[in-house]
Amino acid sequence: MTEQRSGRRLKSSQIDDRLSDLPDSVLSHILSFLSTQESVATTILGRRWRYLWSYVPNLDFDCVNQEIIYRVLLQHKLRSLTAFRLHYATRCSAYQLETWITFAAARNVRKLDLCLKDHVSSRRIALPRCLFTCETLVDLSLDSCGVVPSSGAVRLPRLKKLDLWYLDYETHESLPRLISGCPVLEELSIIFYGDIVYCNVSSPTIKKFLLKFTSEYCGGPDRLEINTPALEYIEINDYFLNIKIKCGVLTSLFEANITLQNDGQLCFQSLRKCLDSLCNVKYLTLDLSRCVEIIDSVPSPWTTSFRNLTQLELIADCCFLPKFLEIADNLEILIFTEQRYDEEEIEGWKETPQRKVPRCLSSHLRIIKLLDIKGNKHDFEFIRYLLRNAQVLEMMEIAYAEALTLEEKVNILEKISRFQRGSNKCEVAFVDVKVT
Amino acid sequence: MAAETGTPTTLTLKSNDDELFSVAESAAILSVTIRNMVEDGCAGGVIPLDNVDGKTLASVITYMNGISAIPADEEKKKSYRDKFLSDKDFETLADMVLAANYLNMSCLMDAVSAKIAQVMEKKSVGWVRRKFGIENDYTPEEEAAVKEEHKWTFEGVETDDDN
Repeated sequence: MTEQRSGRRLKSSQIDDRLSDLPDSVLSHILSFLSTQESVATTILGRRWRYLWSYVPNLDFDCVNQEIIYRVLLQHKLRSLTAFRLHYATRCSAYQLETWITFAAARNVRKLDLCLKDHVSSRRIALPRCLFTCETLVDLSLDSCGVVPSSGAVRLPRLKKLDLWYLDYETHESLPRLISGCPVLEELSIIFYGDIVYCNVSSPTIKKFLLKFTSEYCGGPDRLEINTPALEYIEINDYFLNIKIKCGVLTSLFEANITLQNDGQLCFQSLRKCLDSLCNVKYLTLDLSRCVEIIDSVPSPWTTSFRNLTQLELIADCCFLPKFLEIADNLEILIFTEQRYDEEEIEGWKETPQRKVPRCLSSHLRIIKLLDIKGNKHDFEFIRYLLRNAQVLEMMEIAYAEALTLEEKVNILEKISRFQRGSNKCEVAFVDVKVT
Repeated sequence: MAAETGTPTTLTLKSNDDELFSVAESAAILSVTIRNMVEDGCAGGVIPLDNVDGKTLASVITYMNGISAIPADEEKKKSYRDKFLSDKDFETLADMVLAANYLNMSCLMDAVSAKIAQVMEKKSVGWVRRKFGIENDYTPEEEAAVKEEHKWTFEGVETDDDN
């Protein structure tokens, strides 16, 4: 250890204080990648560093106490800020919050990230009006920090990215009013928490939309209206118990990632209604593994066609598989995880001989990845079906479930290797799960 | 880009130790400094870059070629940058940040700055001084005063072993 240190010393004298050779502007740029606590700490390095931190164009406070925050704000010397991040853990008054936001807004902040971790007290704080007229904002992230007002001007002409997590809304007008004041908004992320009956997300510019409900008991809207014609990516983490979703046309939609969580019974009809509006997607990930029960698990007729769908990742009961194969004529890649909330052996895969083989199997499906294969009876049945009927299949990858013994793995491998293959260029690979 | 309109234009760059490098214009204009020269029509002959030495310029050109070959995919560009910087020592990083600053290449400047900042994170004062060869020119009294003034900033960093 001592030797190592003297070795470093030797080297450092050769370096000849290269860091201090850099001009102030470069040094303060380097400091901008540190938290404010760490950039202020560099004052101790040497005289040159004494006031450098106060010219760093961003401030980043993580659980720093308020006296320190005020002191740093007073000592900071720049008249403009690129970013202001404040994550605050203890009780915070409306007055404090307003002071901090006013400071940032007055310095033409471009990126503002506020998170008050004390939910209970922050739920009563009204977000200050000056926040909604901060015209320089490009990126705004608000987490558990108060109530979005339903009156007053909203003018955020440069805002491209907006995160609204665990906020309260004064009325159901608050959210649409806020969004309508953002004419170039591209990314919107909402986590619902409070009681809001009706939610309307309408914007001609939004391309990326993430929507999450924390739990069905913690509120969230009964009615949700989405009107975002330019949308390219949507991610929903949702309970479809009582909520009524009305969704406008999504012609540009490219990718969707839907996770449904339901502690009660999910009706396939309401799922279908939601999926219908996603019919233009190219990549779809659908996770139904957290639904306790899907009551009408023999799905009703489905007329919507997912013509553009080329990659489907499905985590669900295998009874859904034929349904999706039928509606996605051009599917090329299928990633499937058989999963049910209750682990009982189910009736499983039912091959219906009268039904004709889905078109994607005979002409497009090239790659199938099956994850978490346990070697249940119905596992073999649907694997047999897919191998026999997929005529242009190039690769089937089978990932064993984690808990399997070597013997069980060998048994699966031997059994599946004997299955008839509809495609003569099909390879079947067996892999162990990667622990993530 | 230039490549689509016909034969790709090549620029010749000269380092401050008189090494010559040729580089595709489409890659070189990642540098706003060079782009301005090209736009002003001063890029006909050799472009002298008085603040960059040959070793650093060679490295910057490798970066220019590598990053401009990646299509608009921020994830891939980021992983290229991470890989590109992963084996660079501090001296090289200091040269690169100066070159990136002079050449006005914000993406390289940010990546190198973040990398240097990352090395400093959560380290003791003594360690940072040694690592970066920073001379402590405070008198012991001054140092004690500065330390007292910013006491709050030293929570959660490594304790010094020799200072």
